Formats: sequence, C-alpha cells, structure tokens
Amino acid sequence: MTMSGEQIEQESYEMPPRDGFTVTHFITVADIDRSAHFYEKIFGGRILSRGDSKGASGHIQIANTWLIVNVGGGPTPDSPVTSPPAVSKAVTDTIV
Amino acid sequence: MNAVQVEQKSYEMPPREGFSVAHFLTVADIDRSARFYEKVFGGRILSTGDNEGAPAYIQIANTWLLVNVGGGPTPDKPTVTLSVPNPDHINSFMNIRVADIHACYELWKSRGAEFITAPIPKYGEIRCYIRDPDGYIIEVGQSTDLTYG
Repeated sequence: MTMSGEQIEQESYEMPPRDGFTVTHFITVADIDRSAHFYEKIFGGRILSRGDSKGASGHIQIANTWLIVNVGGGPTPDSPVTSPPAVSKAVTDTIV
Repeated sequence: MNAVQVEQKSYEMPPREGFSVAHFLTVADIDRSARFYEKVFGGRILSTGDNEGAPAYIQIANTWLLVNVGGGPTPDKPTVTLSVPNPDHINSFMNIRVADIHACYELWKSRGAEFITAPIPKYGEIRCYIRDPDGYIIEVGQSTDLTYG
C-alpha cells in the first residue's frame, strides 16, 4: 500500500488506483494555488501536486478522498458540449 | 455503520470523530439516482431517503454519495438555492480514477451507463465522461504519465 493508499472493507483504494477504481471530486477553480492552500489550511488536506500552466490539475488528499482542482475551459473532444465556468454563483452540488 | 481505513485512521459515515468527505448531488428523483449508482458502479444503498427531506446515502468505493432533491435557501445557507445542473454548464463533478479504463468503459456501458464518447487520450491520461440521470458528467480517467491522475 502506498502513502496515499486506503482500505475499505478489506479492499484497498489508492490514487491512482492499481486495480478497480477510486472516487475523487473535481472542482473548477479560478486559482489552483489559492484553492489548494484553502483545503490544506482549513481541513488539513495534503497537497500532492500543484498543477501547472500547461493544464495539469492540483491534487489534494483530504480524509477519505481526493480533490482535483483546475481552471475552467471550453468543451473538449470527450466532453464536447460541457463548458465549466471558472466563476459561477450557481451551486449544483456541494461537499458535505 | 460504514468504515473506511486510511493509513492508521478510520473514517465512518456518519463519523463518530473527526470528519469524512461525501459528495452531495441535487437530483430530480432520489430513487432513480440511487438505482443508477448502485447498478452502474456497484454502489451500496445505505438509506433510500424519504419525502420529508432525508437524502439517500450510497456508498461507492472510498466515499459516499448523498442525493436529494433541490430547494430554496435554508437558515444555514440563506442565499443558496440547490438545483439540478444545466447539463452543458458544469463546474464540479465526480471524477472516477480507474486502473483499466477500457474494462470500466465496457462494464459500465453494459450496465446502462451513457458515455458521451469512448475513451480519448488527452493531457497524459485516457478519459471519457458518463452522463448521470440528471445530466451531471462523471469523469472516468486512467493516468498514463501523471503521478496523481
């Protein structure tokens, strides 16, 4: 098991998974560093990667899951009709 | 009681100490969503919710989904209204990281998941997206050269 491995009911979860799957949460943000620091400072999350200007996301382990944060952008070939806004007041889901 | 062992620490839902992270989805039909996450991903329905405001709980891999219908502001979030998403304007979503994306694609498709496209290589990973019954996107991705993808 790796440093970021998890175990649930005799089954091991890790990031990235070596078998099966692991559930994470993606959040579109305006500033990757600001968000990573927020989740680190408030919740004791562990910043695993900080992303970069070439499109890589930031990764933060927090309790039993991981947050993946990145800036928004237009449609991609695999999500051709979805356009995540960088800033939105609309709330459609939350972490609780 | 549902327990998660992370390194030397146990996380439970509901937690008896510390905290556990779950994922809340505003949905149109609680039962429909619970059945979708059970059927496609092998989630375990822990409670089915009710008409008085209780959400359904579904354990899925290392986390839990809470699904409930939307509604207007509450005293603890007086400016916030919860609603199902505009399916083409999304800002947050479940991101499922997998070991074998082609196997997951075939398995979850056979269980009724509607993929927007087949897996496509991009940004050091191979990924594709599922639409859930309310139009949320669910990313399914396998990293090919990123440490934490």
